[in-house]
Amino acid sequence: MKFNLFVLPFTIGLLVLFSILTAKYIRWFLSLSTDQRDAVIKNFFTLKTLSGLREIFLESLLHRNISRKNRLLGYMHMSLAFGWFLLIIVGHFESYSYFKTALEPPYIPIFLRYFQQDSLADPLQVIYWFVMDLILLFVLSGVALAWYKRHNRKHFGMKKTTRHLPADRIALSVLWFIFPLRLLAESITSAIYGGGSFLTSGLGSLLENNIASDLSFIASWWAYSISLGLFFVFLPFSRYMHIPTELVLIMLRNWGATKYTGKIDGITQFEVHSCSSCGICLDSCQLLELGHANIQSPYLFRNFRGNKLSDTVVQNCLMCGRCETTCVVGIKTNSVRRAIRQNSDVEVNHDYLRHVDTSFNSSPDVLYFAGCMTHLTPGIKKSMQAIFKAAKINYALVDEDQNICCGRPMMLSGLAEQSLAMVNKNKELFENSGAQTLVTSCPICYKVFRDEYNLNIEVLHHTQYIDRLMKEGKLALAKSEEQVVYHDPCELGRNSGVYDEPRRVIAALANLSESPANREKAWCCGGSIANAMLTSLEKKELAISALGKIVPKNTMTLVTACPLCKKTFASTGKHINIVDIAELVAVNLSAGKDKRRIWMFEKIESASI
Amino acid sequence: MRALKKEVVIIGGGPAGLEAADSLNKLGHAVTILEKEGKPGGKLSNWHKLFPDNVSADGILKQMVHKISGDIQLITNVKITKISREGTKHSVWFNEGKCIQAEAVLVAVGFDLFNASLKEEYGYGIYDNVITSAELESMFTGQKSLATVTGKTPERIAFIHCVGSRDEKVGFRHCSSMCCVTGVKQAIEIKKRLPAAEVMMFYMDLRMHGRFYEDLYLEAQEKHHIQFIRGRLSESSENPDGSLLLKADDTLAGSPIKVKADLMVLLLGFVPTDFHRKMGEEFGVEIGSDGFFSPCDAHLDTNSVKTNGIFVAGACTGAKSLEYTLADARSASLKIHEFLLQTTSANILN
Ligand code: SF4
Ligand code: SF4
Ligand code: SF4
Repeated sequence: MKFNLFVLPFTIGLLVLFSILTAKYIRWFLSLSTDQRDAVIKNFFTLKTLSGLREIFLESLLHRNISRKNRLLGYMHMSLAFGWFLLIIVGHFESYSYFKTALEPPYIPIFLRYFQQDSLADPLQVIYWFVMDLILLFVLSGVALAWYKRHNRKHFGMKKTTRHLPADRIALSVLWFIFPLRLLAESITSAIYGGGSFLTSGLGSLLENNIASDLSFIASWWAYSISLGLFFVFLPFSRYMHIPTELVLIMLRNWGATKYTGKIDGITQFEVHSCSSCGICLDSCQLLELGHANIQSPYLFRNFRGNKLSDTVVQNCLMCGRCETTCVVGIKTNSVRRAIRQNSDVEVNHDYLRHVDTSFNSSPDVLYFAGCMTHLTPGIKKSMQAIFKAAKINYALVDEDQNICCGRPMMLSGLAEQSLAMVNKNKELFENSGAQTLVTSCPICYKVFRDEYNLNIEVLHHTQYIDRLMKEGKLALAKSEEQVVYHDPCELGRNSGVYDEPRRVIAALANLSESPANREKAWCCGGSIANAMLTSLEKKELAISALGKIVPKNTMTLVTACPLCKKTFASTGKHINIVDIAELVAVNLSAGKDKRRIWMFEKIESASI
Repeated sequence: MRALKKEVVIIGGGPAGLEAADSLNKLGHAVTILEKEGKPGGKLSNWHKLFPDNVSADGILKQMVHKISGDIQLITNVKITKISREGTKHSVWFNEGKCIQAEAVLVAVGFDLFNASLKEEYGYGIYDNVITSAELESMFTGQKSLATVTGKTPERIAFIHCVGSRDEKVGFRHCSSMCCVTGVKQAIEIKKRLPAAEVMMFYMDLRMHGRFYEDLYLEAQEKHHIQFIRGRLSESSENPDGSLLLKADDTLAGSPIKVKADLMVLLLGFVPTDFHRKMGEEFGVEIGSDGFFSPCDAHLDTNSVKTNGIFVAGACTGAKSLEYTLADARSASLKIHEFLLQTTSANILN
């Protein structure tokens, strides 16, 4: 049997790695919900499995998503992942071509140059040598870039990178050593026994006279094996756990098994362990502007993995979802955070709900749920009422007097179970009305009604509803020359995917300009209900900074579609008109009659005293 | 004295500016007042009567303006564009290219009333029967009638304290210190005009700190039966008849309450003006966390700022009653006089 003691570190490391992975994954699979498990079983023998494998190839090996962010960064990841993958695969083929068996111990293809030192008469061997040298060079170029990136991250399109933990740093250093050590071992082997191609034999001839000796020969193979073994042992305890876990997550996603269940489950574990701490999402987080630099998703996940969660890390987040849209692994950062926030210890008193009357004495076609936030911006509510009236809609305002919150603010702060009483009461109210459509002015309510209430009534945000009324020709509107810019609210845009209807409505009424950071890249206004940790001054700072980035120089009016955005931006005291789409429409309907009260500022102020 | 005659420019022709102009003039300096409106008087010109003794604001203002004659130059409708300094001379630029030079500049720009639309949940600008304390004064002076928008005599009137003050959500943490007493004075005035009306005050706590202010509070309760409800308004909505539904937490009774009112009066806080921000940004005058000017020393020198030759007086360093505004203006005049004497002796020595 082909064996040498030096293969032990590698073999033991591999065994340890496999045992730990198996134990962890089985535990996580067992904590999947029934729905999630059913989805895996149902979709296992379908094309979804193939498309999962395809995605693994494109993302985990070629790193296509990262390349879209930055070519150089993409190349770096690809050369390491795909290169290493090729070394293993081609190594197996090479080994098979020599030993004609696929049942060799796993260390044979890894240390093949040790076990097959002699040159064979086989012309194929020269080709294998060449190919393997080429792949090794490819991997080494990735290592060199990774090393360079630590000091010059700007060239990789990143302003910030993650600060790593000691275990991560050790694993990283070991990883950097693996391939140079392989190069060394193969080159020394080539110097002594011949063989190898341009790289290993080239370096080998340089080492021939001084370095290459029997001692350095065996020592270099030991070093290579130890570096591999160490890396494997450190892997499950470092961020490199993402390498195998991401593969599983991609499959689960393709099988449709990753639906959010409201609590920490196996999916949460797979998501959390799929984060490579690459730090690509960091630059998207506005809280960095305030100097809060330890709460971002990679830090949350890491602290979760290490069981070191603090209140700040968990709670100090806007849940704006900006990091989710930039995550190259596609981790649902918002859902994970929500699951982590879930806290069943808090008790909530819902006594008042008993007195809420959910019967209806009219039979409206449309229900209008203004929402708690809209009650704080009555201009929006009044405008919507004017719009319903102008379009002659048989509607009912459901939360005028006895308003119950939609429940999402509580859900986002970790009290999802406790919000159920409110959810059920609202559902009862909506269903008793007999209406076909539920319209709300608040994107927070919209998101939860649409995605979590399971209503059999159509749910629309008022931007969508107004868009429909306009299409149906129910509103007599005229276009003005007003120059406006639109701000996508986080909950309506990124978190609910409604981008086009608001734009259509505005474009029919005014000259719409787009800010560079729009749609899924839009900034958060800073007023998020999901963050109870920021002071009002900090929120204001975020709002002022966002306004500065959103509003073009020649524009005096910012149109938004969320009462919270409106209030947050208005409270900055900046000389900019902050208007909701509903108000824009209502002013237009009244032929500009109420314009003064909304357009407080008319011309762009000069900067001097 | 006449030999010392130095140019002083006063920015702002409100009570502080007028009072300082008179004092500096009497101390022998050549004074020019730059006023942004068409006439002097500032916010005082729109007020009806003054707390705590109900004297006529107009009467007081007339006496002040009367003193501004002769040597004092008053330029109205001024829009200042720039202030610059060369050596000891300040140049104040205004109205497209006009410039006036002075040895010392006194900034007496006062304050702005909080823009009530920013507290949108109270419905100002959205619900017709929500008015501000300033608009109520103009109803008292007869410029508008004391009635709802539809011309009805209001039966229930609610006053809301701390609108734009003590409210970090709108960016102002400070107490404006004058609105409690203004509200009580206005509530009494309403009861005098409409004895049948029901008047309610929604307050956080009453800050009746000046001399005789407590007497006014007692009179409001005992003589006029004005209701004081401790609780902050959370939101208001409009009934179909145009009346308002107020939602608040009664923090004494510990329960949420809903109240109907025909007219709602917002007691607006004092907030810094745009001029404050610009003086801060462009001229380096120090601004406090409330946005008002911060003088060199809060106790020993309330009228100088770090920039040499620039002085501040009146409510531009924080909310003040008329009494304190005038005293502060006279104090600033002395400070400026001392400063001008010093620069003169320095020049003679050179
Ligand atoms: S959700 Fe927003 S605030 Fe929270 S970590 Fe991501 S980018 Fe930052
Ligand atoms: S959350 Fe995604 S983008 Fe952010 S560090 Fe983790 S893997 Fe990278
Ligand atoms: S004086 Fe009274 S009303 Fe004004 S801010 Fe202070 S406490 Fe509020």
